[in-house]
Amino acid sequence: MYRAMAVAGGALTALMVLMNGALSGAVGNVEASVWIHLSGLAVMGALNPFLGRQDKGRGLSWYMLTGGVLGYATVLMANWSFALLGVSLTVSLGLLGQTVFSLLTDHFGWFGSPRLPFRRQQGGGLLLVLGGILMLALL
Amino acid sequence: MLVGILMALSAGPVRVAARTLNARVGEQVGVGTGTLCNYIGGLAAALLVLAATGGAQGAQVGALLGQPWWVLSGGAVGVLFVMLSNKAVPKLSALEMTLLTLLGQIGGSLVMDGILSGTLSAGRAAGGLLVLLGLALHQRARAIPNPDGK
Repeated sequence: MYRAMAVAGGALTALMVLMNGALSGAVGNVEASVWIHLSGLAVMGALNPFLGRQDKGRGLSWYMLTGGVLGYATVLMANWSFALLGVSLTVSLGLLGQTVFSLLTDHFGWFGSPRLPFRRQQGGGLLLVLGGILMLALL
Repeated sequence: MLVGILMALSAGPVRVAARTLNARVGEQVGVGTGTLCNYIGGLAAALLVLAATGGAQGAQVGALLGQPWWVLSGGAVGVLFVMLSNKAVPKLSALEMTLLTLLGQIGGSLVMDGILSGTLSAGRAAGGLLVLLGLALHQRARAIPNPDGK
């Protein structure tokens, strides 16, 4: 179920790249980002009253609230490297960074995640994944 | 060139950090309010950068509003994406989340390329299959220490 959600999220990303890319091309990156966040905030504000609520709140720290800012930072970083490297290389290097950092996050249990120490058996599958990413970049 | 490479590489870790922090907020205050917090932070940052780069011109606002509806709906699709991510991240390992999202994205873009251009890139499809195979192998190697029955 949660795995299907992650895959669906990825498919939505492909759709967003297309839509937001078209918008950025028409009005500029910075301006498009303002609209994307403004419209997202409006939609979320309208939906939120109908969603389940939770009021633990206690375990919340200020640094957790930086997620949105960091998300925006990734957009700027991607745009910057698009201009220097082109699309394929930017996407592939980003995936490499994500994969390595995800391994470290799991291994050390960063951001309050459960610790999942790295096992050597994972290596073969990961090599195939990296090969696939390379093919996506080059073909 | 080196700046570009470093920038592209470090966008990956920042992405993982952003989605994991967002999901932590969602766990505390509910997925809806957590997603709302994400958009408030993102909008604040976007407005700051807009102001720093000279603000919007009237012509750009006109150009924005003249776009077809589907071009303007990316933000709304993004909401669904952030909500799904906030639900899934606490239940999956960081690596699983990265690779499953990647698979969905490969599949989605192959399908969209197919619809938009009527062609399917064999090389990219093969790359996607290789990622899928690698993920399956990796999951098998991981399957043993998985006591929480995900």
